[in-house]
Amino acid sequence: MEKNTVTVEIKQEVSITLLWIVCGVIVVSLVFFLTPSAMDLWPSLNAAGIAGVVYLIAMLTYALRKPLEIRARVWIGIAAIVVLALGAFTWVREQGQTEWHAETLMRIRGVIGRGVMLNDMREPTIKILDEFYQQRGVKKESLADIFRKQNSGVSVGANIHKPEWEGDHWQVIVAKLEPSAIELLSQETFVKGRDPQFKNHNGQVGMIQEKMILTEKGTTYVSEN
Amino acid sequence: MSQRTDSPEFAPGFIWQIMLLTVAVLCFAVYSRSHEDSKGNMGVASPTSIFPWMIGGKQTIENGLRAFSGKPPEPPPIDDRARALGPLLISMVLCPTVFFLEWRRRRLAKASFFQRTPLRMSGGLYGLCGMVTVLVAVAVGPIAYIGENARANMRHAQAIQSNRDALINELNLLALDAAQYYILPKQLGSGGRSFVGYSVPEKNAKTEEASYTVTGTRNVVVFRAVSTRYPSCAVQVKVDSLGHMREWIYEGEFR
Repeated sequence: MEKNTVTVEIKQEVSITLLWIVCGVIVVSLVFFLTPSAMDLWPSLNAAGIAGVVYLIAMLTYALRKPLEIRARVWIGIAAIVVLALGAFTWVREQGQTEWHAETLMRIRGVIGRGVMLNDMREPTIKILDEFYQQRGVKKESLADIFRKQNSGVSVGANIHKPEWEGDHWQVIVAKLEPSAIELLSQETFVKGRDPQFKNHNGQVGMIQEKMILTEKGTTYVSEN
Repeated sequence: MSQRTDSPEFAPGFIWQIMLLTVAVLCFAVYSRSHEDSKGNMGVASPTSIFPWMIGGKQTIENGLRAFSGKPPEPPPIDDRARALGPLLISMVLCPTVFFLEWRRRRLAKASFFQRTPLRMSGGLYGLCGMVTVLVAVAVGPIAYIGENARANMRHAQAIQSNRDALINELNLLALDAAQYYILPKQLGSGGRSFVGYSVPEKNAKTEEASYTVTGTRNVVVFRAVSTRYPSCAVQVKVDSLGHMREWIYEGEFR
């Protein structure tokens, strides 16, 4: 009779363990899958992580209840708090770090873009200016004439950038072409600039855009956004 | 009810359920990894880790790389979601529960690990779960410490790189300025096909990023930029009459 009683107690322990696991798996999985996370895993992970911590605290409270001796309860409790705190700290920092990485990638892309734009607009304008001031004689060609000659008859709105590789999407657009003034502008199609409300040349909003103005007095470079 | 039910701590069904669950999760993780590897995924390796933040981080970096190449971000694939959930369940639910509840039972029964019969199914599971739980708990501290150091180093390196990029952009503008000084006639206050008399415009001589000086001859100028934020770092470049930049020299941590 006494043996029977002991057996029932062990089975109870097993059932309780199973119950804890099943409940934990269901709660954490539900929270994970029900949290809306469109493009990122973090919202689901964070919500499920919080659910997991709540579960762990509840389970540890249950596992460390009396009649377990106070010393074991205190040590395990402190260790659990330290581990949970360090885990949460690492988790949050890791999320911040990966988001920083992604933002840094876009910042680097912006810097590369501005450099390429400046280079792409500098080359043709300096060449035009150079040829303009090298002219001899009374009848001189205008800046626009030289520009058309160097860029085989392009007109306003044309893209004078020649792609150098498959992913080369930059454009240098002729925005103004007058005898004594030429405006070239270049913009990004997916890298955001300083002002999110800035209206870009192609109708987009908030993208990086740079402009080069060439007159007979020289060039002016304007970082528009 | 007696001899047979007296010894095992776990009901046979329980053991098999736990084993099946563990094997299923492991199989799914292995499958997902091989599937992901065969697809190739923006060059980011798929981490299989007991720490779920690694999978979250991988997803964020992948979307960052997509944005870098002008592609729209993609929602996390279902296998990535499952691979993120798997470690979470193993490290926060399954292993600690089996370990702590069994530890409590043993503690109350006053029986140590070595006093028990070896090679018992429940003992194996307890040992495995205990190992995972302790491993995760012990590893979190060093991971936090190493992670913080790595983050600090990375941010410092990136700050230097950003400063260097800013200097290069400003030097690009100075090269343009110098080239047009060379080209424009003396009547406009410029060099008339010479760099003689050229100096860095006052507003550009000292910026938030660097201080700029120029030296040169009739046909070539040399710009030197000394970083304001990192005074031991500098960049030097030669500029010709058409504004072409060459012979870049980087000093200090810019190297």
